Amino acid sequence: MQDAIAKPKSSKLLYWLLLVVLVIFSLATLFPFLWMISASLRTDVDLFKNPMNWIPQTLYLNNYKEVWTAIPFAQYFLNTVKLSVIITVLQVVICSMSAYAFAKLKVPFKNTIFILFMTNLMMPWHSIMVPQFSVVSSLGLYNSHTGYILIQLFSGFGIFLMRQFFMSLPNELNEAARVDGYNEWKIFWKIMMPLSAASLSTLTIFTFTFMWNDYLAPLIYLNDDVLKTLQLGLKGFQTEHTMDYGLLMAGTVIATIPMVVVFLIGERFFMQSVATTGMKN
Amino acid sequence: MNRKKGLATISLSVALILALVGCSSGNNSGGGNQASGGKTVLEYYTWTDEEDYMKKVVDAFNAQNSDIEVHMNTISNDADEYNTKIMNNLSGGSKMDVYSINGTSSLGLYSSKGQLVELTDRIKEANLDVSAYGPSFQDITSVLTEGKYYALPYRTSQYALFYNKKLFDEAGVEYPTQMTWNEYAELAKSLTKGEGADKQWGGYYADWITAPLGALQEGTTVLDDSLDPIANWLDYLNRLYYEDGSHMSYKQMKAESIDWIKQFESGNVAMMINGEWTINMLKADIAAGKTDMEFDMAPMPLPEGMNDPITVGGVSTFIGINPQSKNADAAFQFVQFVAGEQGESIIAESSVLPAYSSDKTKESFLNATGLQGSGFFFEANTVVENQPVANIDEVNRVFNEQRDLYLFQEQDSATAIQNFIKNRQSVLNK
Amino acid sequence: MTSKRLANYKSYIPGTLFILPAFVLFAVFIFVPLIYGFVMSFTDYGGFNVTPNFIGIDNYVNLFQDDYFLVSLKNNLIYTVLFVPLTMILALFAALALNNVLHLRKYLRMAFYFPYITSMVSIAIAWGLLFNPVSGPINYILKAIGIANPPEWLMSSHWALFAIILVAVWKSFGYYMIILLAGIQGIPEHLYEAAKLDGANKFKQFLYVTLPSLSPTLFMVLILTIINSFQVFDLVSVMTDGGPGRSTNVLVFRIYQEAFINYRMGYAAAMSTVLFLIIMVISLIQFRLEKKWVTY
Repeated sequence: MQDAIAKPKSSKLLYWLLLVVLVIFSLATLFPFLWMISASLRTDVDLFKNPMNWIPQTLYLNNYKEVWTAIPFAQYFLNTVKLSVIITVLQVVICSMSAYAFAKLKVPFKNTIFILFMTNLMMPWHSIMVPQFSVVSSLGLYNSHTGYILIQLFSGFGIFLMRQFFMSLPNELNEAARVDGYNEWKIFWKIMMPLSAASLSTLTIFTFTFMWNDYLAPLIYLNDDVLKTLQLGLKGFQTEHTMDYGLLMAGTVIATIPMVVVFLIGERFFMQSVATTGMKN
Repeated sequence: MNRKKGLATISLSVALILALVGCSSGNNSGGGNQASGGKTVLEYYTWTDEEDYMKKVVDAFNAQNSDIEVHMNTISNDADEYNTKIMNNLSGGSKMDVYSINGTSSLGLYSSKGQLVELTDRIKEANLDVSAYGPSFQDITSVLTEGKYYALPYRTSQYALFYNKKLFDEAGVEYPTQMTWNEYAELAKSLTKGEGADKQWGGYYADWITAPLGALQEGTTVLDDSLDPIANWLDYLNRLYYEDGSHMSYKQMKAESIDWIKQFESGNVAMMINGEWTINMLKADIAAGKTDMEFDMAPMPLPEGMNDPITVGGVSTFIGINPQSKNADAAFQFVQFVAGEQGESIIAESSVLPAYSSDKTKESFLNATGLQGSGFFFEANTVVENQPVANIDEVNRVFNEQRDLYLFQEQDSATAIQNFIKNRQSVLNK
Repeated sequence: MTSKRLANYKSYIPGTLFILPAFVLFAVFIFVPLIYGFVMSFTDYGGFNVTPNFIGIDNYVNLFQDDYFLVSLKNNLIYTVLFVPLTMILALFAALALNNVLHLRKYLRMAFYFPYITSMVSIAIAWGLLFNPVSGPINYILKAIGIANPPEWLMSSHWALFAIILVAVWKSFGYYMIILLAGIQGIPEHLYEAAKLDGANKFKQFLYVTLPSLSPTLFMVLILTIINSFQVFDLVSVMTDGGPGRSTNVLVFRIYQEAFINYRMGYAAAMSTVLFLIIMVISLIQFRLEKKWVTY
């Protein structure tokens, strides 16, 4: 995989051509975000007078100041960080545990339970939204972070993803560890989890992104201002008849930064673990 | 085999336990409302657009009542979120005593599902003068809720013509007064000029005004058998958007997600047909320094051959009580305050057209707007925008589907009407 | 059978304990609501606290005479047939390219993943501008390369669904690219070295090493894209609201409208059940076929 450059000239040309294509392609994928940054630096009136002037003549920074006071932005931000981190960590652990059991351990009615679990992947959330709400509120967990966290912890996708990975590991690994006197709990934490760092970081990135951007569930489950999340706050800029584009875009830009950070950190793990597993082979 | 049975038993008993817990705790939502100091706390819900003036009403009420404290919650009204949230609250979500109802169709829905306390007796006891809410409230009450009162209105919606004074001054054209739709179209055409960034539009007709205003003025609604006036109205819109090009085209508004009020504020639109809420929003933006435009208003244009001013609108926003509230008495006090003369005057002071019509509310409104033209709202006759029947939202939706296809120039108006009649049938049969 | 199980009784304990947390969460927060919803589909439940009436299979019978539902089903099938292959090809191309490129890797990976993390509302506005038939850059380019009458995209009932598909592919290919990238980088290096020793060129390496080793991941991505294609909701809701006309109304959007706008919860539950069955059947067929082309 590292040998693409050590090639004759025609191949080298092809390589640079590919790179150019990829860069153009990347500009296309980034475009809407660039537009958001542009819109966040302009007044709304200017935006509507000259919708196609994407480069602002004068930078209007007020949106970035105002967004912190227009809504309790800092409070929402902290709530979002708290919920996303807790849910991501717990979901990844819980899903990995059951995925490991599905892949490597004896479980009564393994296939039945697995298929049942996968129904979660196949059912759109909207269709269980109302009954799920009844269940949560009858447990007295409505309007609490606990209630919202609990409904998000199970993920059919997470189990599916991790199971696929654990299945690709040789069974001999478990057998050898058992001979060494490891119990299953220890095998899981000391051997399986470190080996699956690549899949784990993938799942972490996905879960975190999803939770950070989640909108409808927080809307339904969180009521008090002190509990609300960033996406609920951003939506406040868009009301029935009108929309505050500048503030919305400035808020979106700020709200995107943590996801970029998580992606970059997750990616580092991802690359390191690829390097180590590669060496072992 | 045994294990399978075990599994089934477990899940069944989980379900049973949940059901039992649900029964016993389902009423929690109404309890625990006695705050410190023996005050009754009322949880009131409305949508974000109302925050500005309802906050003042709530504050005034709290200042006057030492034993009741109203706590206001606002929810964004984009994409039916408000209704979703209210539905969850009504099904046992957060504690909610009083809530605002947006539109007559929502009123019909909530009252028919038993989600509003019937107020008929209380209104009688309190000797409230419901005629102050005008004939549209009587129509709604008699048709939609069989003469029973489930909520009181506190806002009226009406359409009118707004214009940018500066653009008229520049063109040396007199400010508009009562016109016909034809004259309006001609005037708009003459005020349209320029290209690109210098483009000036003669008029602006927002894409989301789906009600066929001109047809309604003539007395035709989307529920009628003969829909010719509506077909004519569609052709008229086509004239504004495409033939004359005096209004930003329907396609462009949709494509660029144009915000109607910002477009008007940007100063390149001479006239705009829109609702009375425009006044409150423009004034707020001018006060906040977002725009420096000067505007005034005129009566809504009329169909050919009509003389008396007539506009589309009627009482549109209501306030009612959740049957699960433990504080119905205090809640009714608040409802009475909001929809009564005092609350309505506060609303009017924010340039929002109140439902309660009296000399005092009228005066507050005219003082607040400072617009000569705004007296029109109290003089014109009104026809209701949405017919007070169940399913009206769904009928409007299927109408809008065909209207969209017509204004995207994919079908002619006759086809649009034909398809609408077909789809309307299947909605009404449901 | 039973005695054997009893003898092995202890060997089930660890597995059961590992699954237990997920199982409890699933049972309480997903399975119970699921069954609740299924029961609801045989009633005329209309929301709120109103007690529903049992109406047998009426909802299901009505469903297949309901034009609106059938249109949304048709739209959804078109969406699936286009979205799945396009997303998979693009994701695979991006993953393979990133695996072979040494420059700008970090930047490119981030750029491709970016659409997935940007907020829906802002995306809808930005793409609306791009697709603008009058002054948008897409049609500007199309006209420049000689297409006299380019499509009107979101303003046209013939093209709107394709515009949505395009944005959906754009938004999600980076997500699947990450999954595929993880799969590609998990392929042991020695397989490539062996292939090289046999004189295989890059293309042959791809055909005989990458593809077979990647087949489990590809299978997973296939299943996921198909399932996701039946759950499309957000994009339709923010970009077209199902229009123009009914041209972009898809299944979940229809379910949402019936349940939360028209308050026909029972009817919406019946639609959900049908949707669930469709996805279930497709997935089962896939799992049958899995054995034919996936090599573990």
